[in-house]
Amino acid sequence: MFPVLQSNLPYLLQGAVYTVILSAIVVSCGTALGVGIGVLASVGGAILRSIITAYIFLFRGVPVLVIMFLGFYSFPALGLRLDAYTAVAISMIVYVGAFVAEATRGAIAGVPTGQTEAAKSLGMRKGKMMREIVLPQAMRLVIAPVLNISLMAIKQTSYASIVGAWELSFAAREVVERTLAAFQIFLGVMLIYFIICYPLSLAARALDKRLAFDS
Amino acid sequence: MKNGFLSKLRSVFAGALATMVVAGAAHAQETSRLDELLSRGKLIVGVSSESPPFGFVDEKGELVGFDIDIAKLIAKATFGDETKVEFVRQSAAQRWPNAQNGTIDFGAQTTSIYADRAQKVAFTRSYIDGGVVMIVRKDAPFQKLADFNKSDVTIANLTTPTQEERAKRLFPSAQIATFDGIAAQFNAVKLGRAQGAQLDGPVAAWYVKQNPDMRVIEERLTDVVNTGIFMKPGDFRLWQYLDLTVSEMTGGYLFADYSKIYEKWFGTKPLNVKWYLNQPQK
Repeated sequence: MFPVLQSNLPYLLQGAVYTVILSAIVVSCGTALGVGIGVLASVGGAILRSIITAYIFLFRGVPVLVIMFLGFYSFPALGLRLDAYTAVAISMIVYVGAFVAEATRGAIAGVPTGQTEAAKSLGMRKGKMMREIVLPQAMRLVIAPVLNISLMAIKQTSYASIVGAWELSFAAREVVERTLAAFQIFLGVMLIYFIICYPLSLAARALDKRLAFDS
Repeated sequence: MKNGFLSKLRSVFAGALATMVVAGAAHAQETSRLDELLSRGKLIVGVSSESPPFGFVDEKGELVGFDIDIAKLIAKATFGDETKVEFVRQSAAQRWPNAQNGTIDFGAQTTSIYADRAQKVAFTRSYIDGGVVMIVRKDAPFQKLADFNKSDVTIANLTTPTQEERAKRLFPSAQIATFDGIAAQFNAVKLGRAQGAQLDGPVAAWYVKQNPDMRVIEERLTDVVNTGIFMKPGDFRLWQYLDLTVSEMTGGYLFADYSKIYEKWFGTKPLNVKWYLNQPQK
């Protein structure tokens, strides 16, 4: 049963390790960036808010592959000699950040107004109100969308192979070029991606149920 | 007042420009990527990991192939140690930006020399003959190139402009399908999505050896083309050094090493570029 896949599985799994590392970097940094920007958008002034809106719209409206190409080809033009892996990671962090920022902004807006009004009537300052009342509740609301964005990001790391960053999809292509067994190899690759993503989808679904406010 | 200011500005600019030109000229004479790689103690070479038998990943997961061995031979000639080389795996499209922006010292990636490419990168002389052939299923009715020029025939191309131009010129009536890898091209023909695929001669020979249900059309699509090592243009010392190394490989003191590599991957002995050395011994 699938002899080519069996003999090349160790090589594919090496690629999977790179996919997991790249995903972890992109998801963690992208989430941190996005949450930061989302909070800024909720507390900052009008100018800052419009800049952030532009950033969110720009990156949400462009395919991640195009962002990767731009990152890959523009860093050398700026005099930075980055390897493909770093270029892809940076491009994807900025891309994922835009999605997380939008989710964060939505979550902050989704905290019931009664909460902020109560805080105000207790005489809380804006910063303290944000830190102690709004953000803890908003973070609850943001976890589920962030998990969904993470799933999207993990799957999008497969585009990294197109600009030469070696990971699971690149390894798969290399094996296919030698063996021509496209069906077997990509079937295996599909399973590996599924194994990486499935726990996250389960977590997303469970959290969705647990963290939803009773309305 | 305004004019005085402008002319002052202009002279300042002219002075700055002159300084830059002089500094630039001195700079160009002094530094070469050759010095950089010699002090670094290893080569950084752009290769394909998806073009057997030139550069591909074997069953053990090692990067192997003719181009890989050529790069190792250059490392051996340069540092006396064939392991002093770091490989950058790049797609066909990434060859040019990687050479131009200094990601690699040079590329050895079955790259045919064409004028439009030679405007983007500098090429050494040829280190192996190339040429494009058409590959078909063994049971297909095609015998010569003219047989492909029909509206119900699809030609599988690689994403290079030269292949597209060639297909349109030779087979104006045929359909064209474009793929980003050789395996995809090959599989398209194997599965009947396309009837013929344009492949490099040695690559086609390697695949057909592994797939007895495929064959190569005898009539070639091109004359013999040259395959060069390519690098960032404008670095004369590096270019001269690499061109010299290639000349020694194909007809000088490195020919014995080169022959071993050639025979390992293609099963035949290469001819020395010095034609009089190839005469049968009397």
